Amino acid sequence: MKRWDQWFAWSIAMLAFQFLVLDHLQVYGYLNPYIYVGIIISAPARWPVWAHVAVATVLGAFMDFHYLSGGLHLMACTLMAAMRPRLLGLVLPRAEEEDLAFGIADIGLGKWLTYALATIAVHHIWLFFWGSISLNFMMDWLYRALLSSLATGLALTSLAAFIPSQD
Amino acid sequence: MQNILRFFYRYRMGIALVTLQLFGIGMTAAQSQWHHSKFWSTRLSAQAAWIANVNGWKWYFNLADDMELLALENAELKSHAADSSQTGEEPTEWIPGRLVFGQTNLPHNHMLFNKGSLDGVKAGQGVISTQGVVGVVTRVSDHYARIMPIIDADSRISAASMASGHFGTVRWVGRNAQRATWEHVGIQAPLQIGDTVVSDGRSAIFPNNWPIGIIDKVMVDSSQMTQYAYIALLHDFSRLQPAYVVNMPQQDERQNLSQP
Repeated sequence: MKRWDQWFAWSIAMLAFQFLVLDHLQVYGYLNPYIYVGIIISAPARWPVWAHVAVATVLGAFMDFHYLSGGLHLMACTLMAAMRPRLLGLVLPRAEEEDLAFGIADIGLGKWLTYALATIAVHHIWLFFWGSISLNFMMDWLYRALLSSLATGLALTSLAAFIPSQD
Repeated sequence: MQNILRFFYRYRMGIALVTLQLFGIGMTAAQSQWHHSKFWSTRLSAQAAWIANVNGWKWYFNLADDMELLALENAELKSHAADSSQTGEEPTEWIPGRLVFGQTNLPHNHMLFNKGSLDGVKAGQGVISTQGVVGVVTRVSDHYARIMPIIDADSRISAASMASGHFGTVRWVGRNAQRATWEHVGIQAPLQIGDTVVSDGRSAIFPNNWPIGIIDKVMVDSSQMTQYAYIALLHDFSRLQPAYVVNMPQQDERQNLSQP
């Protein structure tokens, strides 16, 4: 999003959706969609990296506080936030310099999914890895991370479809 | 100081990210009992692996000392094994050491053993390795002994067939350091290819039955009514390795009695 007030409003909506709906959705521990990562994904493109990391720190700490998960979400959020500008730059070069809009209506579903799923995967893989701390069951946590990434991507895309074009 | 500050400023994002990750790990470990125990069990496993690795290197570097101790112990065991009161063999003393020099390419080769007169080594004593007979001590200094190996053109070693007990003399004919001849064997001896030729006690230099070589060709010397055989030597003369000098205290007594 280009405007921070819009982004803030959508962030509240995403948190509410996370807490009220998605937190009650679990399929034997294999499906944990965390749509709140959309707050970082949809942050204005012109923001510098430090701003992303700062928001991610607050957001991650809050989610850890909510889920009683120590610092797992903090770690995953800050890593994702640090990588987000580069991942956005891969599908939309000069997005940061020119403050380009990157909603589904602006860049198309294909580019959006590439960007969103890659960013979500960074978050989920890191989160699930530290959640299980085990390379012995690598396929298990990777499977869980990728499955949850798809679920989060699907939910986030459904929500992002309602965001009108920013240009 | 400025450079340090400049470094921190330049990599501020990376440092902040790493700090946040560490903080997150700390928080997770502090709050989650499972993560806490996982951390300590992982640390314990890493410590065990590290200690095992370090000990492995220590053992490797101590091998030389260990080998020397084993050689001493082995010599003592051999001495006990050859105790006349137990086996009927002549009493034998074993002096452990190592071959530190060797030649294989000359008609007259010699080897050096790293024990000398101070260790009880005397000229005329036999030298044996774990593979078999090596040769005879010809000269000694305080700390070293010079050995005439089987692969010297002047070497003559009394030997017998392990299968039949018929005896003869092992002599080196040159060129090949792994091959010698076993000569002056009685014509009636049933020599077979593959038979083992071992030391015999006639010379009182070596104890009985220490392997020297394997027969790989049998010939008849019709002019002298004897047989001779080519044997593949068992001791690898091209390799320096641990060996023992054999001290048979009754050697002099036997030699004196044998003289006319």
